[in-house]
Amino acid sequence: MKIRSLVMLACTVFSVHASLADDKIKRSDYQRPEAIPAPASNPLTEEKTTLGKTLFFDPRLSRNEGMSCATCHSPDHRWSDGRVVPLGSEELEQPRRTPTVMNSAWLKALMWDGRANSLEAQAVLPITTPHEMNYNMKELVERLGEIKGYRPLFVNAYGDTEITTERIAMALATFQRTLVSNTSSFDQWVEGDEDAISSSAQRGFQIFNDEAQCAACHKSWRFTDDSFHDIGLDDPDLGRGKVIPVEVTIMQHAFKTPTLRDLPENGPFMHDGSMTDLEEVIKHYEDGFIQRASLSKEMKPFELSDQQRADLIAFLKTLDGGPLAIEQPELPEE
Amino acid sequence: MNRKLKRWMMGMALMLTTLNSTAGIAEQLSGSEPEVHNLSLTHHDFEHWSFTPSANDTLAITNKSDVAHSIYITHPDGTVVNLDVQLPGETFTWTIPAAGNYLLQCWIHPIIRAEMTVSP
Repeated sequence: MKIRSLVMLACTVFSVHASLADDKIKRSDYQRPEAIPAPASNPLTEEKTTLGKTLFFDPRLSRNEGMSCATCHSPDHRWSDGRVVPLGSEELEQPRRTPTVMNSAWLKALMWDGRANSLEAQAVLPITTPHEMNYNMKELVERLGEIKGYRPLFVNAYGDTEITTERIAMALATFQRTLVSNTSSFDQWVEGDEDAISSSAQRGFQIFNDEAQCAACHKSWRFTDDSFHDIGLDDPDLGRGKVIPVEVTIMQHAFKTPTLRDLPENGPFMHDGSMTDLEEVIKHYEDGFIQRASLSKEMKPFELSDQQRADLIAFLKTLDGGPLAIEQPELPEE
Repeated sequence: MNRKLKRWMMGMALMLTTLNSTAGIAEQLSGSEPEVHNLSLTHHDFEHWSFTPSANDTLAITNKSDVAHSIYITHPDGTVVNLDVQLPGETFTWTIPAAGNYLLQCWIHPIIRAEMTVSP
């Protein structure tokens, strides 16, 4: 009888273990894609990438010629700015942290509130936003048309010298699509190198998928499913609630799930940049969020030990592929 | 006597069943009887469907994922109908008001997007 019970227990344990390893937590769910996607209307080309890169680093895209896209999306800060409040947003009532533009080729909704549905649509928004680059596309097209050095770049990219808003946006979008995270130690582990990450990080990966349920939203190789949630931060900003019908209560205070790849060492984290260390972030998800009608249904309290929190942080650090350095372009002369 | 009565009752029941099913087929052929179509929602998509819905049919959509969704439907004239929040395991219904092309999307997960053509 005892032997039978032991056999049954062993079968159960084996079954649960196999289930966790094979069904619930599949490493293959986190496998990096083989190619960069691009819309048929704006395929990736080397020439468009070169033009887009030049435009991205050119401060003449702003009215006062003092701010380029790279000012806030800097390669030195994982293509963000490392600031709690973005440059120019100091006087705003509800400033939002600058998100990274890495891996944006795969984004399904852009901006913290999802108000842009493509990289091409997003590309013109910072240029025309008053507290950012504060310009308008008509004057920008005229300004670029007067810079002789841009002509060969447009010819190479599009076949002629015509400069349009659409062409500027397509080139910027193309360049941003090429910004892909470096391979991290987690990626090596996913590919089968068992020693690529520590046992602490491996336990953290299990916690990420199991107890903490982070993977309910931080899914896929990018560790986001581009979904929108109110995570219960004490912040009056309505987020996506400002851009969709007010009766959709669940979208009040909702913001896009950010990627967890290439996180900056000391943050800032969250859409409002209100947290500076990962332990604080984890504790917020455990039971630090405020209850309200719009709170995401995925926000379920849980409790971790200090060791489990350390394991989870060890795992998150394995998602860092290091700086994505690029050679800065030479800006065209007048 | 009882046996005769039993046989008569069985005969009547058989006749009524036949009449009823014939009427059902006729109604289905004429398209006047609305149907209920089952549709499944996963984490990031609607599962493929093979039915062709008609106006006045009802969609019974089951959230088979382990996360909540917030489905909304854009009508052919641009009207948007919000279906609130659908928790895991829940089934919710929507009756199709008219023929045309409808767009089914999720406020929480913009990746969920399905077009449905409804016949008259």
